[in-house]
Amino acid sequence: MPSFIFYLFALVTLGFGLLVVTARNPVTSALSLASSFVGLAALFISLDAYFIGIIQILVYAGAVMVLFLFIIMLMDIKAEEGKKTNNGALVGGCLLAVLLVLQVIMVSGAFHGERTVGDLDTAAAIGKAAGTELPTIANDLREGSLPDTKLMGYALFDRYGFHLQVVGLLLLVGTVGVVMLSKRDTAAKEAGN
Amino acid sequence: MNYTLLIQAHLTELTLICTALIVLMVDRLIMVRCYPRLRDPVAAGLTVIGCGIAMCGTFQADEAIAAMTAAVAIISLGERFTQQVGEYFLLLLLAAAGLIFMVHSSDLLNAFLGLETASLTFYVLVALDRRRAEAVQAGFKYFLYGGVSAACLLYGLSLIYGLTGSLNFAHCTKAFATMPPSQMAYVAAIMLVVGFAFKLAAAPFHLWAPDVYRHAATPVAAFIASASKVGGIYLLARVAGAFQREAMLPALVVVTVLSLVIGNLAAISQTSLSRLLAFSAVAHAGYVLVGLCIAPSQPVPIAAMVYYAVTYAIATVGAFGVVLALRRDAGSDCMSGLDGLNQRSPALAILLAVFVLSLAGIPPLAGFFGKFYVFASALRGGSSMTIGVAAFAILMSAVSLYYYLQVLKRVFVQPLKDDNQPPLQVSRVTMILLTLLALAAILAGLFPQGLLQSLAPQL
Repeated sequence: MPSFIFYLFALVTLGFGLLVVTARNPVTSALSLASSFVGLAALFISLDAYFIGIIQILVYAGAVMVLFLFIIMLMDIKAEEGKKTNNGALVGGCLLAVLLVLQVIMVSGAFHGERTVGDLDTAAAIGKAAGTELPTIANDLREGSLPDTKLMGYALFDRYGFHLQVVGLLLLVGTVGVVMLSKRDTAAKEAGN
Repeated sequence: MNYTLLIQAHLTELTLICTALIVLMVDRLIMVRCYPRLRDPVAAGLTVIGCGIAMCGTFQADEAIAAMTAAVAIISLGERFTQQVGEYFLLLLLAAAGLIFMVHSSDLLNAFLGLETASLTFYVLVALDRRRAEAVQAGFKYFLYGGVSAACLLYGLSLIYGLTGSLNFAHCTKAFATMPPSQMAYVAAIMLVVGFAFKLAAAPFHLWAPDVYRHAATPVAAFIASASKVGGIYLLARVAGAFQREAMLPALVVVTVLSLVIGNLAAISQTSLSRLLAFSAVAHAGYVLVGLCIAPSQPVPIAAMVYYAVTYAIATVGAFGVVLALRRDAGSDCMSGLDGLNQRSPALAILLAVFVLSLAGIPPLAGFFGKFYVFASALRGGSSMTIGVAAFAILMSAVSLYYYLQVLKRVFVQPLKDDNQPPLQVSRVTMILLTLLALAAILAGLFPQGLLQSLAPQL
């Protein structure tokens, strides 16, 4: 019964997500986040998006969480525990969340799931290049092949291939910036003495 | 994907990126060990050569950004705010590359990536001078506000994607043309205007500007004030052209009027030249946004807006060159440091007069025609509201004359406090650059059609 499984994992995702923001201990928050990611991965897999589901576990629940835990380990976690809740921020956050939900409802109401000009062009071009019909999930499932890795590959390295290169430039800027700002500047040292 | 075509389309950016990597390698591998004294001139020289190669061909928005980068690289000569010379010039060039990516992009996603590349560079550059806590604080503030504004912009873009199913400029234009303005379009418009208003330092999202202009190293402030404005205004004009302007108009009018009021009134009471330039930047963001407060049926006057941005950038870089000379001489850029500048350095005083009058929009100079074209496009066939906004902008530029002339009064009328003050020392390279910029401001004002036509064909 897919609807039961959906509700189960949705509950897991949301419940642990709530725990991320309410837990006082940062390690509890981090582990709840990992559990929330696992629930999300299960939801992706139930949508036949196996690749994204597995990546979700490997990259987010695995690699990113380890980084989080490292950082928590390096920081002083006691400071956070005794803090009182900021009521203004709480109300503001809830208000923002309600607004976001309203907007999502309105957008999904206005968007009827039809493919637009842009999508059709690209899909047709890909289909022509591959010499097959449109590589939609439905077609690939009919052929019995795992679809989403292929779609991801096309999206990432063909349609958004150029964007990916620009992201590389962005990462270069980030790397150089971090090194520059954290390196010990000899001029700064002289001024300090 | 055809890589040959892609490389041809993005040759300018690739030139700048390659130059950036060469500058870093030459600096780190050769200059640091062998000729540590020549690090500044060699890195700046390579940067200028790279920008020069990138500028080959026609003069459009992207070439204007490269030219501003070269000017900033020359101003940076002899400024000792960091030991990491190679990295500094690398970041300057990468910021220019990001801005030009933004100008060349055919879809909103790429434009956003270019914009964020440039913004990330600005955050680092502002905080670079770590000897001064204020610089680090200004950089951190800029980073926090910038992050929130990037989130707003991205949210607006996601709503556009939700409405049209595409982020391509051409597809969006087509899709929005057949669609009546929905509530979602209004929300998206507000998010877009908030994001861009922050990047352009338009009120009420200008709070980072005075701190950044005042506390960042002077060349960095000049760069943020010039190149990023040209790129940001070009992109905003294109986005507004692709989007439903009926939905955008209310938010734009609010931001425009607030920028005009806050920028011009706050500038009057400033005591430091760089803070005055910051509030004048807020006011100028208001003037140029008047170009978008037009009837939705009218085409967006991109050429006029970019002309405005380019002439503004020329005058601002020049004015910051004078700020730099003042800071080197007196250690600060207080307005009182300008007293009797005419007696100490007549050449610098005349150059400052050209830049300030161009910012104020006095006829023979470029700033006048920038304002003229933008206001004329708003007045042409507009509704009563758009004509009202344009008239208000004209009124406010009369107010702005007060603080611009106040600067000139100190320079030319106020006597020197201490007659024994030595003449102001300005390096020869800076002087040549400032002269060139002043000539550009005068020539762009005498022959405005030439520059306007050169900026137009891209559109």
